[in-house]
Amino acid sequence: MNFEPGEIVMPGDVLVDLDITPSESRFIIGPGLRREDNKILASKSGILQKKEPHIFWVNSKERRYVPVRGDAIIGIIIQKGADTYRVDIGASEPASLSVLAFEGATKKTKPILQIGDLVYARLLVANKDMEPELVCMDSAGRKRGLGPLEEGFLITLPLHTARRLLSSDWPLLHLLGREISYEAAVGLNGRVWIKGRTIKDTLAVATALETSSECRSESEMRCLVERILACRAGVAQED
Amino acid sequence: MKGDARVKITTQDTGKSLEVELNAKQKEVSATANEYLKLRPMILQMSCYARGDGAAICMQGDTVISAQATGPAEVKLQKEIMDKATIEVIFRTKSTGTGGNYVLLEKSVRDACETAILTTLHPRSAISIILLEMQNYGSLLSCCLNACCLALLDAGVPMNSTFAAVTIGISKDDDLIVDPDDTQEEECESLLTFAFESQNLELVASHADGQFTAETFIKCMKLACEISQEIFQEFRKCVKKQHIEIEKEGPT
Repeated sequence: MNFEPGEIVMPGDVLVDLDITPSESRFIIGPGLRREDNKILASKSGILQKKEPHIFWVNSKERRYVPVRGDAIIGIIIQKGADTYRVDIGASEPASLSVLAFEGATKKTKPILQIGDLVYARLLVANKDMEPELVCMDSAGRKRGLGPLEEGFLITLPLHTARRLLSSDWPLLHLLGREISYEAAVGLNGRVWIKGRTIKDTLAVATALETSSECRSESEMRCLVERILACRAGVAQED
Repeated sequence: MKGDARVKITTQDTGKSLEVELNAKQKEVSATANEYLKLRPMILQMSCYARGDGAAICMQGDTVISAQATGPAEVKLQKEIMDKATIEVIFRTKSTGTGGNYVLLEKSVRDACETAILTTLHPRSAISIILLEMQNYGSLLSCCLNACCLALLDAGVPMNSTFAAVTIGISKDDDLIVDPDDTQEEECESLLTFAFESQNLELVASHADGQFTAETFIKCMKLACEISQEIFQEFRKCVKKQHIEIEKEGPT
């Protein structure tokens, strides 16, 4: 390997050239890496990551979502058709969502969604040559947390921040949950939906999430949470 | 002359803080002919705007260009290409807005981008780059190309390789001036701009103005290639600054 995990790679950097250094080991490459002949190259700038034994990917900072099959995302209904909805998922083209792809939906009992409504859905088809397709249920027909999102508040974060929220090493949502009761849905397209008991709670969580994208370490994040909870307590006392 | 250039490049300390760079620039006022063979102080900044998908500011001496990249985003139907992404470059001047005399510049930048970006990965989408002239004191095209590359890096657009550009002026006495400022440009008989990609150091774009011999052209190209290395180092340093603090503690 020309680069060690944790190092910065730039597009065009050759990670491994199997013509020069033949290797018996396999490589599984993820986002930000590509294969060209017998070389493995980076195609995005970021930090090279490795998961034992031989999975490699590049952790980059982006703000534009590119659909990936299986990702849970938050979409906005932009058009209603006879049997499909057109949904904006923040990618280069809108996705389609069948009215029958909801739990318990039949031709007679369709979900009622209006333009502008939010849905938490999973990408069933995500291919560069095809229109992305969404579903709001798993393969067994159960909703498993997916479906329309009612009320609440939507914020948009950079993609790496949204991914970080879902990571077990980044207990931001958990820390906020100790003091504030709220519901949240994190889409891998950077959209986060939040619904607290009161508007104040919703806004406190929204502020925490938005500001946390600037946090560079876990201690900073803990500090941020403390301050936001203190502010919220202060506001509550004033009332 | 080429040998001299190499010495100059390696001795130039690229890890300077802003103040130091500015001091160095003031010293450069009393530069001798040999000192013309190095870049003006270069300051790069990424993610400087909240809007858009990626943004960068490139300062080469007093020339400042801000670039904003968006994409892959929705494309207008008439510009849609079935098997690859459409790349748009718009140059905005301080006073007159878009278009005018800068169509050639836009085209040069777009062509360089097209070689660098893996356009086939995002068919039927648009990648647009807006270059904003903030200050123009010479070597405009190379500054635009460098800013553009950095903005694309920030936007996370998949690329074949990065690219960096260097402008070289040829004076009446056949002396070479790297990265000339506006007064030097006026004195120069011809101006050559070269852009190189980082992987195999091949030429991706060149733009020439004025008269010159084939030998001078090749000499300038070699010199520009060497100097572009220095810019690639700056790019890497800039990206590192973006990422490394997160790496310390934060996970994915």
